[in-house]
Amino acid sequence: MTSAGYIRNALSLTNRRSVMLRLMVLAVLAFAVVSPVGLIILQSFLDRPFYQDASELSVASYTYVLTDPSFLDALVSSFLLATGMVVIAIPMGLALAFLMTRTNLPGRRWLQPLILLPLFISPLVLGFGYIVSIGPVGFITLWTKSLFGGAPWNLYSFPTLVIVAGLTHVPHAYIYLASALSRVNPDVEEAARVSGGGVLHTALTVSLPLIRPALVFASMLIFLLGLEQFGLPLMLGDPIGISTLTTYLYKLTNLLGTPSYNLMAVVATVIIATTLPLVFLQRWLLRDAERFVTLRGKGTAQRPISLGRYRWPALAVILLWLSTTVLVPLLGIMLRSIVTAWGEGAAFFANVTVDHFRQVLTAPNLIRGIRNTLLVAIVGGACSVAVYTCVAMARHRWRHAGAQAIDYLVMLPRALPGLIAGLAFLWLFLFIQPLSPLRGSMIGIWLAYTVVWLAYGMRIISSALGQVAPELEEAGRVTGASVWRVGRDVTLPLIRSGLIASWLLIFLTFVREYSTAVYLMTPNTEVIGSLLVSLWNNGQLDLVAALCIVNLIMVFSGLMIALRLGVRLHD
Amino acid sequence: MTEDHLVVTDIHKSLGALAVLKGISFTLKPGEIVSLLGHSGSGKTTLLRAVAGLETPELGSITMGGESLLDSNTGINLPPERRGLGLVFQSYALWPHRTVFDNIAYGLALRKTPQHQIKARVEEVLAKIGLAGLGTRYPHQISGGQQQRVALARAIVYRPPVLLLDEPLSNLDAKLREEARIWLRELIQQFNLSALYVTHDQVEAMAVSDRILFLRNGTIQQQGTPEDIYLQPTSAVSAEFMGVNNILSGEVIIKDGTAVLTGAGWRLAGQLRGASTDQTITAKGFFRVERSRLCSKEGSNSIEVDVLRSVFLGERYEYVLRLAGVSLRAWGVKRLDPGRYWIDMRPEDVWIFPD
Repeated sequence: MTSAGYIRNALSLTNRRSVMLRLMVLAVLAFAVVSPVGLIILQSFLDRPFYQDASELSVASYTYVLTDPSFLDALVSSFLLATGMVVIAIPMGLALAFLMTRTNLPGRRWLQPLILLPLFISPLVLGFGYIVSIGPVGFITLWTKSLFGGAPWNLYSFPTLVIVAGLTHVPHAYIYLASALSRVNPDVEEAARVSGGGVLHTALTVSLPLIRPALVFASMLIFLLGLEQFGLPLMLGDPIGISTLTTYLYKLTNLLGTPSYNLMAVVATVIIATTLPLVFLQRWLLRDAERFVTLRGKGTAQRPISLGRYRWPALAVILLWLSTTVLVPLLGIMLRSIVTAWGEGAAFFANVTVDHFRQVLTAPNLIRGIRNTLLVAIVGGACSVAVYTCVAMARHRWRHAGAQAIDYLVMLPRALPGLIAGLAFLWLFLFIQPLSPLRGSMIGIWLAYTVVWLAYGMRIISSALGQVAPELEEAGRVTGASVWRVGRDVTLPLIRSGLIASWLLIFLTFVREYSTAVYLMTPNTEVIGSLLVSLWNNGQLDLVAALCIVNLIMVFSGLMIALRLGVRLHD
Repeated sequence: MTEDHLVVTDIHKSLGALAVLKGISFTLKPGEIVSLLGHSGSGKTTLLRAVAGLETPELGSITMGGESLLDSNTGINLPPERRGLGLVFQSYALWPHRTVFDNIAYGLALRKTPQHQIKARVEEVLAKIGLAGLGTRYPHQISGGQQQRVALARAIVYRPPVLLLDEPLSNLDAKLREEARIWLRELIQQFNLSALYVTHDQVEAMAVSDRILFLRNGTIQQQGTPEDIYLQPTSAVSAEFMGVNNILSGEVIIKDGTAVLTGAGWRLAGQLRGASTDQTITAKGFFRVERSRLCSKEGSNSIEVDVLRSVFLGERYEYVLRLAGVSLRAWGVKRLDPGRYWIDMRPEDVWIFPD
C-alpha cells in the first residue's frame, strides 16, 4: 500500500511537470493570439480611443463607418479584387501545376524555383516595379511610345490592378495544386486512358475531380490573400482614388490622426469578420481533403504525359507569364535605381548614377532600417523558429483537449492581415502598461511578426516533426527518459536540419514583410518594408528604388542559400 | 513477493469500438522466456506495449516484483520511463543521430551511472554481442543484423528485470533469423533476464521460449510449453495454427471409449478433444502432415487415398493426395507413382474437435 502510494505520487509529479509546461505554452499562446484581436473588437465598440478615461460603449463608430460611401466603395473593391484574383490565379496555377507535375515540359528543373519567385518578393516591391516599368512614364511604356507612338495599356485602372494582383498570386495557387496533383496515383489516369479517354478528357473527368478539395482550398486562400492585400492597392489603386478595405484603413490614420482609433477598429473588425469564417472553413475543408490522400500510389514513379508539339509553346507561355510578373518589374526597379532623370527624350546613359544608393547609406534612418530588417529576419527569425518549435513540441503527441486548443489558436492570426496585426500590437503595447517599452523596440516588431506568421511557422515545423518515427521517441521513454528528456535528447536533434530549413524560410518571410511594421514604426524601429511605405507616401522614389534593390539582394541571398542547402521551398 | 516477477491481471484495451484485449492474465517467472504468439490483429503487440507503458489499458493491473505498474482500481499508471523495463522494437528504433556506443549508453547515463562504469559496461555488452570496436559507428554504417544486436544491447545494458521484444527478428533474412533465435535465447539467459517475446512465427516462438501464450482475438487461446502447444492442442484453432495439418470433416461416433470420425467411404479412429458427447455430431479431425505415414497396404487405422502427384522440395517429397474431394498431404523420401495408397495413423495422432 505504502509503496503504491509512493509510486502514485512520483507519477503525478513527472506527469504534472510535462502537462504544466504544455499548459503554460498554451496560455502564453492564447494571450499572444487572442488579446490583439480582443482589443480591436473592444475598441470598435468604444466611442473614443480606449486609453481615454471617458470612453464609453457605443456603436456610433459602426454607424459612421458603415454609412460612409467611401467605405462601402472600398468594401466592394476588396471583394471584386479578391474574386478577380481567384478567377485569374486558380486556372493559371492549375495549368502551371499540371504542366510542371504531369507532363514532359522542357526545363522543369530550373523552372521550379523561378515559378516560386513571386512568393518571396514583397508585393510592395513588385507594385513599385510595375509603376517604374509599365506606368504612364515607365521605361517600357516610354520605349514603346518612342517606337510605336503609343502604348496600348494603362497601369492605373482597376482591371489592371486585378490582373497584376492575379498574376503575382499564381504561385500561391500553384504550390497547393501541384502537391495535390503529384499525389494523384497515375494508375487511375492511365486506367482512364486505356479505357479510351484522351489526355484532355482524362484530365477533366479523372484528375480534376480528384484534386477538387485542393482546388477549393486554394481558391479560398487566394480570396483571403485578396482581402488582406495592402501593397498593390496602395501602389496601383490609391493614386487613382481606388481604395480597398486595407488602404481605406490606412488612409483613416492619415486623414484623421489618432482620434480615429475607434473607426479604424471598426474597419479592422469588419475585415476580421470576413476573413475568420474563411479560415475556419478552410480548416474544415482541409480535414475533408485528408481522405483524398489515400489515393496516393505506393511510391509509383510519375510517368509524364507527352505534350507532343505543344511542348515548346507551353514553355513559351510560362516564360511570358514569368517575364511579365517578375522580369518586367525587377528590371524596371534596377534601371530606376541607377538613373537620376528619365522621361520622353531623356538620354538614358547620360543620367546613370549611384547617388541613390549613396543617399541610402548616408541617411541614418535608412541605415537603421536595413540593420533592423536584417536583425529581425536573422536573429528574430531564429527566435521565432524557437517559439514555433516550443509550441509544436507542446502540441506533439499530446492526447489532450489542449492540443486541439493549440490548433485553433494557431489558425486565428491567419485571419489578421499584417496591417491590422501591427495596429493591434501597437494598441496592446499602449493598453498594457508593462508591455509599453516594447512599443519603441524591435522586440515589439518581432513579436508581431511572430504572431502574424504563426500558422506558417507551425506548419513547416510540424512537418519536420512528422518525419520523426514514433518508436524513436518510445524507445527513449522505455529506456528511462521523461517526456522532457526525450524531447531534448531525441526529437530535437532529429529535426535539427528541419529547423535550419525553417529558419531560412522564416528569414525569407520576415525580410519581405512590410504591412505588419507600418503602425509599429518609430524612430528606432524602422524596417525596409515600413520605410518603403512612408518613402512612397512622401514621393521619394529614388530612395524607394534603391531600398527595393537592397531588399531584393537580401531575398535573393536567402534564396540562394536555401537552394544550395536543398531546402524545399514548398510541400 | 520480492523477486522480479511480472503479474498481468485481466487486461482490457479497446481502440475505439474495437476490443483489442479482452481480459488477459498471465505471469512471468524470474529467468523465464515467454512468447506471445498469434496472427496479426490478435492483440499481442498491444499487450506488450501495455506492459511497457506505451498503451494504457482501460481495465486491469500489472505488477513487477510486487510493485504496481498499472492498476485501474487505484488509478496507478506508471509512465514507461519509471517502469525500468527494456524494449526491443521491430524496427530497432536506433537513434540515427547517436553512435552505437551512445545509443547503448543512453539508458546508463539516464540512471546516473559514473562515466567510467558506462564505458566499461557498454564495451562489455558490445563484446558479448560480437560488435567490439564498432562503438564509434553510426547506425546507418552497420548491417541490419548488427543493428538488431545493438537494439538488443541498448535494452539489456542496464539489466532491466524484464526484457520486452516486439518481433525482433522479423526484419532479418531467413538464414540470419535461424541463427539469431538460438543466439538470442543464449544471450537472454546469460544476462539472467526474464523476457516477453512477441512473434507471429511459431518456429521462432518454440525455439526461443520456455512457455508460449497463444493469443487469438484478444484472449489467450492456450498456454504451455512449446511441446504442450504443439503436441496437445486444446482447440481446433490451436491445432490449426501450429504445424502443417491435414483436416477432415465428418461425423464422430463414440464407441468403447474411442472416437471414430467417419465420412463418405472412410473411417478414422482418434482422440476426442473438447466437449465430449454421446450423440453423433459433426466434427473436424486434425493430423499433422509429418505424422501422416503413406503405406501401400491397408493398416489397422487407415484411410485410402489417391496420390495425384509428388512434388520435390529438396530435403523431402510432398505428395498431393485426394480423399473424397478433400485435398490432403503427406511427406516422404522418394517419388511415388500416382495411384491408390493408404495413410496409416496412430489414434493418438488424430485429434477430433467437435464443431
